Amino acid sequence: MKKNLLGIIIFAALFASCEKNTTTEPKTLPYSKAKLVLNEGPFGSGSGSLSAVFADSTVHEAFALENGFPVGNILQDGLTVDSLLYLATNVSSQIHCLSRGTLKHKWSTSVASPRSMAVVGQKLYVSNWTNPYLKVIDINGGALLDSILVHGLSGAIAIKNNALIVALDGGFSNDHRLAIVDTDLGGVDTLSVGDKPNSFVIDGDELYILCEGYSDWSGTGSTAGSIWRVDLLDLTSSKLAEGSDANEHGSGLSRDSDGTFYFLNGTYESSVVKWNNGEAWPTNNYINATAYGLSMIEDTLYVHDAKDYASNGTVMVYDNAGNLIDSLVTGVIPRKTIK
Amino acid sequence: MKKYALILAVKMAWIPFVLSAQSADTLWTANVLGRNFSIPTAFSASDSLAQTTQSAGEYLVRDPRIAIRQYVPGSVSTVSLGGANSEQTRILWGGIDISSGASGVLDLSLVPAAMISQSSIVGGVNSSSFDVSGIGSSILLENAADGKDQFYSAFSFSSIENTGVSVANGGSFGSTSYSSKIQVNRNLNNYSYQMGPYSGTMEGASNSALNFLQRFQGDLGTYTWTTDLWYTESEKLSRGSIITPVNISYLDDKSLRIKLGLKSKSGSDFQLYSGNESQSYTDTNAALSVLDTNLYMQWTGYYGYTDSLNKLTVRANYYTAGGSSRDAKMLVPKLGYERLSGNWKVKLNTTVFRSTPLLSITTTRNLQLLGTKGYLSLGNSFRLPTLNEMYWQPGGNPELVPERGIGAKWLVQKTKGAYQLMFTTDQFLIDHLIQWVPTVNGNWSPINYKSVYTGSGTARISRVNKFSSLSWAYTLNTSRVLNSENPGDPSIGKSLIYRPLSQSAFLYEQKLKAMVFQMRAYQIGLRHTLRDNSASGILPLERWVDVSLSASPWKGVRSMLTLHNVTNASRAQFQYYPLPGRYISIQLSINSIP
Repeated sequence: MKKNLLGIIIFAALFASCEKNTTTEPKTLPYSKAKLVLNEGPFGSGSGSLSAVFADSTVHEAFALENGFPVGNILQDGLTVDSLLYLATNVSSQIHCLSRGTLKHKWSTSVASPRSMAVVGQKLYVSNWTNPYLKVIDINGGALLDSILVHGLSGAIAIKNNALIVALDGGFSNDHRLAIVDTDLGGVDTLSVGDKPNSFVIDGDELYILCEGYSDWSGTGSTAGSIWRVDLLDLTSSKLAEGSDANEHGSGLSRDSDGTFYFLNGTYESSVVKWNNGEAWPTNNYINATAYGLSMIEDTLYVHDAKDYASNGTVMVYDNAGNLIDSLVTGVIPRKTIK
Repeated sequence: MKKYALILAVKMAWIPFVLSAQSADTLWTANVLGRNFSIPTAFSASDSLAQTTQSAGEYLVRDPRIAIRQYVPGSVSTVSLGGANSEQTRILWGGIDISSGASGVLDLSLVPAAMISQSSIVGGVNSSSFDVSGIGSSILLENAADGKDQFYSAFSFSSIENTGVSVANGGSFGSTSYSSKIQVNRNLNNYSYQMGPYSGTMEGASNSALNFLQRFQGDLGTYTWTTDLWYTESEKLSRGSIITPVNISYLDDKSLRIKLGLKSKSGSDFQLYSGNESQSYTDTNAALSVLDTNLYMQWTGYYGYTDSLNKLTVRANYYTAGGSSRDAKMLVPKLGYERLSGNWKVKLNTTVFRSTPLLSITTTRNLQLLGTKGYLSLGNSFRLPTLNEMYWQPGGNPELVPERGIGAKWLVQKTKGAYQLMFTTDQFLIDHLIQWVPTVNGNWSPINYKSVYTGSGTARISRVNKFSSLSWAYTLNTSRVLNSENPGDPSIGKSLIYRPLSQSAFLYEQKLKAMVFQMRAYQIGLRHTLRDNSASGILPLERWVDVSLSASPWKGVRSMLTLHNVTNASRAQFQYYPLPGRYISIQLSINSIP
């Protein structure tokens, strides 16, 4: 009798420990609805960070919070592809792959001085300021697959079909070319545009390029910023507008759904200007700011103010009518906001 | 990263060269009040052995009033105390300000600790009495020749492969006294680290330095003449932080300083100083490849006259800065007057900067109340912009005006039997603080940006008897940004960065039968590295303990075994730059004077 009772108790305990097996809808992943602000962090000492911006709150240091280690020094770029997020840290020379929804780390790989990234198929293409090669990384594990000679130090990358348009910006020196990379066949063409191309907008078969212009710190060789268009069918380029003063520069080209372009009229402490095709280089400020970076997501402008570059920054959010709709505290030196 | 942070080539150096101090076996608590207004550091007899092979940057950690900043042992070390920053903390050699006229700082890793004495630290407003922009504090270096025949060779080795060798001798021939010292330090910094999730072995952070000091001194009729020569040569590798790949940057530095002096018994004092420094810096960190050279020269002529009541000084300083990033020169004449007697002692210093006269006045009153002695000093001071700040290419701002400060210092001290209690506080209001900020064209440029308050208070209790010594000192630091050129400046109302909120040093030394046991316990409080004091930039409080045993196994031979950082505490003075954990060092010296 006692043995039977013991067996019943054990049997009952085993079943009591089993959870009811039900089928439920997958939960929304914690960061899937957040926009992510990439904060470079202080140069040299310290780390960049990721600020996850929700409708009514912001999670700072989200990468470190979820993974237990800092993202690295100078968080330069971020790219969301399907359920994955890729982050490039320029001084730490790392590419991190995370789950976009949970920000949990999957893999990291070393790439010297990465700048921008693009994904075509199963390959992640990474530009850099160390050598004239585009690095090709396997998106599934981070293995280095190839290096493509693009004939210059590379920055921004855009994709058209299976072709990459890579800005050859010269790093801290000067360059005025684009590299057009056929990812299927591996061929590379170059095309001349203005000095230091830094950002792109693709509109059908046309590519618009904002060229920063060169800042000659030590002499009188500075050049003005300019806007170019490239016909992607025949790879011809034409200049659309140019600053009249060698101190006029531009960065962060974006475009809204109406076809109006927006960019910063400098690289530090800059204001937002507006431009339409056919107009001259804009000289009036659309949004007065002291901005370091500009992003546009769904016709909403994100103006990144790095303050004194040694404190948390601020992102001001505007609609494309120029109305301020939000202001967010971020990490040190906010650079870019991505979806 | 769009632009690299401005690279400031920094460089940075007193003690009476008293070998007899090495024979002392009790804690020095020499109570030096008077014109120097220095407050003694609690150095021990065991420390005197460490002093023979260490740099001033390593040695001054013992004094909790001083904040040393370095990346790894032997790297560029800058110092600040009394709430002042590194440019406001001046380094003087024999009364001549040798802080770099280009960068405003002196690398204390290149200064032999033997040049530091207990009287070297002058905190607060009184430092303005020494040739300078003494807006915050001064460190006085000295190299003496007392004519006694003396010799030592000293060696140090550590388990992290940091070594030091020094040879010194002194004596006299005829009526001339001499002293010379050569010191070589080589730090491989081969240590393991554990910092949060990061662990590894430090690499790419080695450095080496050679120092040669030579002094001659003699009598010429009613005059005493001196010649001093100080040569320094160093190489430093820097790997970046532990969250970056090892990209070595390299700093090569050579300097030659010569000082000639002629002092009469009637009170006249002439000095001529020449300092020449050359640096080359190569930075291959990531995308940045920077080659920078810095050529810096300083000429100073000094005349002083002292009688029983007054002291008058005239100085002419001529600075040049050349190299790849600036080409500039500056002449700075200075006139000083000091009233040496009376209830209120007054010091005046005046200079002319870009045709604008500047005057600093400090007044001091000795106090005595209920058996305590002390003094109160009030004054104003200024720090001239450096040649780098005014003429760096690109971005230098020739329109900068001097930083200006008003300060107060109060000290009281009570001695009863073997016990001594000391309390001192320094307060400053500083206006036109210079800070580098970005401009619209991408250049960074310095401007007179902020008004700040800094305050520092130190309490120390010590007890010395025949067999043991005990000292505990605690410093509290406060700072606030009061105002800024930019009303939206996020630092307004916040603490200045890299100021420890507190510092503490505890010393216990016990004379045993055949050896001396010493324990030093340190605490450095929380430090902010971001100007808005946000949490992501905090360096937390650190505590660590060193213990040592020293002995003199044979006559003329001294040895010391030290276990550093006994608890293997995690330490850093910059984020992601770990300092060594637990390690052992051995020091050995052979002296002609036991």
